Amino acid sequence: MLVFYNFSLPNLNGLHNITSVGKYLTINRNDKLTNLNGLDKITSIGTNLSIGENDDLVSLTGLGLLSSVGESISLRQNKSLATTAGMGKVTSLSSYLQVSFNESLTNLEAFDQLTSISSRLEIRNNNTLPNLAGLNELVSVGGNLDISNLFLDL
Amino acid sequence: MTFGLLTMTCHAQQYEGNVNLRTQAEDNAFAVAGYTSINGNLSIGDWIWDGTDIMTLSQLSSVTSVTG
Repeated sequence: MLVFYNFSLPNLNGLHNITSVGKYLTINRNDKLTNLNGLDKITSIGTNLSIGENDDLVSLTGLGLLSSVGESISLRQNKSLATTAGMGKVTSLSSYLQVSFNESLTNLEAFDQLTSISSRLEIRNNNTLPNLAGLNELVSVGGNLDISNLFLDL
Repeated sequence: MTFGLLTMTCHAQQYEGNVNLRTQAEDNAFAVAGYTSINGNLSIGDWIWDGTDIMTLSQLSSVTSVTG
């Protein structure tokens, strides 16, 4: 399922009865969205969750029941995204996790039950991210590890 | 015409194939059919430089599953 280039769309209400997405869920360039309310019943995504370039998106609230993503999660270039809290928690990804270029992001809380990533982990250019708390349970990364340009409070 | 519309509403519960809704009018028209599932991809939007005119997705509330 793809929701993209809807610059005037204020919310995703109307999708609130969808419980599963067989392949991918992409939310891209919806400039007025501030949260993901409307996706409240989605519990699983077959392959990829991609959320990118949603300028006003502050939180991922609305995806709270999500418990499974088959392959990958990408959070990229959401310049107002302050928190990942509010999104449901997955425990493994058979491909990659990308959290990059979210210039207001302050935590990785949504990933605090994630234990394994089969491919790469990319956490970069989140200039306000103070630490990697939220990845505490991660014990296995199968591919490249790219962690750079954080505001690390070491 | 009304009869035809009602027939479609009652029987066309699952849409077979990909659904591409590029405008609010297309969203609204699709909703009239009352599909509850889509056996394919659901795409809402369009690659246009100033964005689509879509302001609400409320018409799609009958849809409960998307396989694509």
